[in-house]
Amino acid sequence: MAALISIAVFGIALLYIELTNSKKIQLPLAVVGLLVTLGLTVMQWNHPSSSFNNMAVTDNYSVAFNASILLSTMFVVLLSAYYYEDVKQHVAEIMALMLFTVFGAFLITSFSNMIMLFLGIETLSIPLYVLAGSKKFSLRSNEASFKYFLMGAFASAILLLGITLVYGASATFQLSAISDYVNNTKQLPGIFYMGIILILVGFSFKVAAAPFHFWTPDVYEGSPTLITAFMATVVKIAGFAAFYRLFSSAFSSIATFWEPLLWGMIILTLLISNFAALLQKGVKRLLAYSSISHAGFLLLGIIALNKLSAGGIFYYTLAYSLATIPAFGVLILVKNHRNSDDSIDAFNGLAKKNPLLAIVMSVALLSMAGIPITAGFFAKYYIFVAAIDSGYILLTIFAVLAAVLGVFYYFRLLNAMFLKEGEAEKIKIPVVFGISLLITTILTLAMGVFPDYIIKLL
Amino acid sequence: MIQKIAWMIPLFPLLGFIINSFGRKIISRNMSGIIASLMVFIPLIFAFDLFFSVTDKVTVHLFNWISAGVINIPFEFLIDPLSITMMLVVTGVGFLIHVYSIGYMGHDEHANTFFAYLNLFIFFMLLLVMGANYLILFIGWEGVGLCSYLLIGFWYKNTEYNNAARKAFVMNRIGDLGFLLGIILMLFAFGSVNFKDVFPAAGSVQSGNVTVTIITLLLMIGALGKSAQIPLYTWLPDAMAGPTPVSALIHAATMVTAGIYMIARSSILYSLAPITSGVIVVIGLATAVFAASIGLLQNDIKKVLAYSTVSQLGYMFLALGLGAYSSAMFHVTTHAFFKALLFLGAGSVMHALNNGQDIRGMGGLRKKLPITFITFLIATLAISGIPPFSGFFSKDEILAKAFASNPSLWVVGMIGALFTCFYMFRLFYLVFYGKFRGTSEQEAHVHESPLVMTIPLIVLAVLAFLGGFLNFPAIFGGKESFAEYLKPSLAGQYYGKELIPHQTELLLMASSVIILLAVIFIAWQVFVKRGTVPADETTERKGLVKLVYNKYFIDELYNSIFVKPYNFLSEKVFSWIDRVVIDGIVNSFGEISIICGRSVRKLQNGNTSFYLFVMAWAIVAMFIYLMLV
Amino acid sequence: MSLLFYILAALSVLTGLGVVLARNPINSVLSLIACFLTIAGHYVLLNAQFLAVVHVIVYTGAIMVLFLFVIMLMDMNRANEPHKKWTTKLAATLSGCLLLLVLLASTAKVMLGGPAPVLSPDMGLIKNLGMVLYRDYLYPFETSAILFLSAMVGAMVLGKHEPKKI
Repeated sequence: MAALISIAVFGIALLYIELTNSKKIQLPLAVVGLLVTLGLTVMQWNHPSSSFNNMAVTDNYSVAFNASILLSTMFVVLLSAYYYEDVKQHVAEIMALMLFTVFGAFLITSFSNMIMLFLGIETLSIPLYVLAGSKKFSLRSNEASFKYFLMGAFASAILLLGITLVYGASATFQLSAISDYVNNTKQLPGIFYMGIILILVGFSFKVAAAPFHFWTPDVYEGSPTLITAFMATVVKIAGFAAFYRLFSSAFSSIATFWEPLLWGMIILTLLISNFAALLQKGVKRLLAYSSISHAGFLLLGIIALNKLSAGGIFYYTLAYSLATIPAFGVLILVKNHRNSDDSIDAFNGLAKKNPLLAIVMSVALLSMAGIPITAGFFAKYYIFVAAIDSGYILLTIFAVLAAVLGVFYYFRLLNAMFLKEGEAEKIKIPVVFGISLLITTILTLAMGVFPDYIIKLL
Repeated sequence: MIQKIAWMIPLFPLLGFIINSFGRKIISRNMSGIIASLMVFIPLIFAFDLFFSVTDKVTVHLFNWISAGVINIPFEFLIDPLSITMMLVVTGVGFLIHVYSIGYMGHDEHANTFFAYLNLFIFFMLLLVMGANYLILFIGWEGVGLCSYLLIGFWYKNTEYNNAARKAFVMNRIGDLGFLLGIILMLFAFGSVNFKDVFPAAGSVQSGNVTVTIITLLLMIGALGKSAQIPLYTWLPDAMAGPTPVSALIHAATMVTAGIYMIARSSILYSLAPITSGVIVVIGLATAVFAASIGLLQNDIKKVLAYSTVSQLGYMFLALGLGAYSSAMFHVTTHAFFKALLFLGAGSVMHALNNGQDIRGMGGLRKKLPITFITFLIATLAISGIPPFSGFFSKDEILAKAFASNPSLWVVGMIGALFTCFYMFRLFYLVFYGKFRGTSEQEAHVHESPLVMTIPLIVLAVLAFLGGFLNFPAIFGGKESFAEYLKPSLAGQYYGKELIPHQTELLLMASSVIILLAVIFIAWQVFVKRGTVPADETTERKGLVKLVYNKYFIDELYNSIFVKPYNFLSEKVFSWIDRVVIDGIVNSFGEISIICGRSVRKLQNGNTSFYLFVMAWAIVAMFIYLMLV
Repeated sequence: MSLLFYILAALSVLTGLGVVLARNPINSVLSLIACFLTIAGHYVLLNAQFLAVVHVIVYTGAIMVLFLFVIMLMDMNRANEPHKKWTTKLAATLSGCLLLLVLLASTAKVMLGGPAPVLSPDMGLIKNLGMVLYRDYLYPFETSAILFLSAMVGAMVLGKHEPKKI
């Protein structure tokens, strides 16, 4: 609870700091806020508690995911020092909105009541609609914001209807009570199943799983790159944390009902994202499709629904975030340098002139592709092991094939950086920017070498 | 003591990689070469120490790596005769090639990067051979693939090299996919991927078990890719685009033998899968003869050696398929010596000729490059299988095993050996005898390589000459000490059995030597006496010659079977779907969303309502599912 | 009582259809207001008097009037109505009908067991509502403050007039 209050207080404080209009204060304040919150979060480790009539629970599961959300946000904020260098207006508001998003994320990682789930998802989404359109003079950014809002509203309505139907059947919002209701009722009413389907749809939209992924490429591409990195990481971590919490607690005893649906969605997600990514020319769009495909892999962890799942999902989301942030970071630098050209060709010959950027980018890409000694390999490994453990062998083999397919499009980018000739020039890397990139890269490698320390947490 | 610090062995090359990549700007080229060599030399000493102190299996446990539920994978190294042998080959030959590279790459502006990559390669290769489970092996496997890819494309200004790197990458991914599926299946079948769990568990499995057969077949696909066997061999000749020391180290002596090592390591599984072994015999023998026949007419010095490597790897596969795992490992060892020597010799020749690679533009280099000449001769004799050079012993052992299994295998293998002998001596005579056929500019430039390059040649020549005595056959009163040494690591061997009568074996040896000598004589007649020089590119070739000269059009075949249909699919079909189906649907649906005004029209140009339609339909589909269950 | 319910329900559906089918946006909004009023009626039937009042004040009074202003200011009229293809219309109708059909069918498959419990008449009184809101549901009540704050900040960030060039 202290962490939740702290993040809200720092968010509000940032709004006041806007008055000074000095970035020298705004940024450090945001970082301090995140650090303080991180400290408060970590202090709750091994101290499970519940508050407000059991509406919010703090357990190791939520602490781990919250910490990983804070870490990702921290890197995004650090990168923003450079990204918003020339922007005079609204930087503090943008930071505050980021913190409010994190607030929403906290709500859904630790919810135990459906009302909190809905409230959290809304608190997570509404600042993001604004952030997506925060590049006000860019038509693409406006379009992204509007699209995200339209479709997000649609998905929220569906989720809400789902929650209502489940409430209508079980007469409770509390997860444990719903679970009891499921276990003690012989013949569950149809509206309960409908509710599950609609909730599943709402979640699939938030985590961008096919066929509810359509917004992702457009919104990711149109939004300011830094915001895309933020969306791709924080929303995904929080979304999957909540997804797994709900389906593993309330609906776990009727898994036979929803698992086939998830099964189909996984196949569809992996197929669509990987094939679509093969044909992309723009790096940003490619990363968007890659993000969809990661959602497909993560769903494997949910469908597995065994004791390996929570750790696997946590490891995967963390590894994915630590790869995504530097990838977008490098993209920001290259794009700025190449007059907003984000095609793969813009990366030609990067390794020669900017070896550091090329190495950071390759580690990130290798991690996303799941090549060993990066975190991504074990991320996929744990998820696959969890799925195999639950007997989803065909699905796992399919996912392995999809992962191999994925290697090819990441490889196109690697190829451009290392083996192609380009007129790339030396790009000056701002200090904070470079340090953040390096830290994420080192963390990715460290997680790949010592995966056990992370996986053992949950 | 040494066993306790064995985990440090791979760290040295990793350290070298770090130093050389971060100090890229600071360290001079020579210095970085020396550091890199040193970082391979120290593990070599360690490996020798292990060789003398370890005779059985020692597991070096580092830390608990992964524990996910029932699956427990520690980070462990396995030190046993098999891994020590490989470590000695990797670090020994690797060290010599590093030293050679100091001279060879001295003028390249990116030499530091080159040494960093080489060190990284050695690191991954050591992981591969030392790992005590399939996962570490796989990590090394992927790592060496990555290094190979980086080093093939090292001179990336040339797009052809770039394509070669890509080809190697794609072909290896196909193989790796098999390998990975094999590991997953193994995890499922045995509940573990640790050698120490899988191998004893396999002991209780009946021979011909379907699961084991499938696992071994999948692992074999991985080995086919990495060790360049039919049908995944075409990347290796193209991989010669990389710098010559890379060809010597990665594409001849070490990385390509990883597949052999992996199968030998899994020997207990393979000895339980007769079907897989049969497949391996066929593939190995076919590759051995097929690649050798292509080598007969190649004119690029490195291409000849590349096809020769493919062919020799085929012999090793033949031995693996026959269950003669120690013979395969013996050939790996001797082959590492003489093939590395051949490549380095070729590098020395190319160095002298300003990177000329076409043997039609060489000739008469015997006097100008005396050391290269003598060492190259030793290597040529070794690969051709002339006693008492190392290749004779290792190849003859494989052929004897083949004869014991089925005499017709021996006949086919012998034909391959004849081809090998012929193309090697053709190459040798064309390069070193006759008159110089290059430009006068080159002729003026020709010089023997510096000491830093010739010393590794001499050391390797000694090894190529004496290497055969490691496993001196029983027939000459030897103890087959190499096979004995490896015994604790391998299963399903022919230990203690006399396979074929000594008389027969002697007869086979004698006949093969006589035939080989005849071939050498014929080659002498054709290329030295008559001074025949292969026709140049423009000459029209006919019939079989045309077929062989063009490598049986395998590349073209692959191109038309796989690449073109794929391109056709992606260009025609997918773009058609994209244009007609998607756009068509989108256009009709998308129009709803145009509300008013131009700005809004632009805003809605994406197809939000189409997306919503799809979502609605998906929900409908889910509800239909609900009604069905 | 149940007669009143059916009348209100029929009115809700009819006015709801009016929202979608009306050509003139103003008519559409007016239908929506009517629809909201009927829903407020439903609240009263369920003993939720306070909610009914709030619903009328907030939705009908504030939000819908704002809607009307916006539509009037934007001067939407029939000339701007986009042209739609008949295929599009057909597809939309089909999807809509199918969704409805499937929803109805899956609800009908297993209906709720037994009649709904009788609600106590004073349940919807402000006092009781307040007790529930500030005692049982304090947490969501408080956290929604952040939701509204971020919405306000967002509206400001997006809506504020900027100097032409940043």
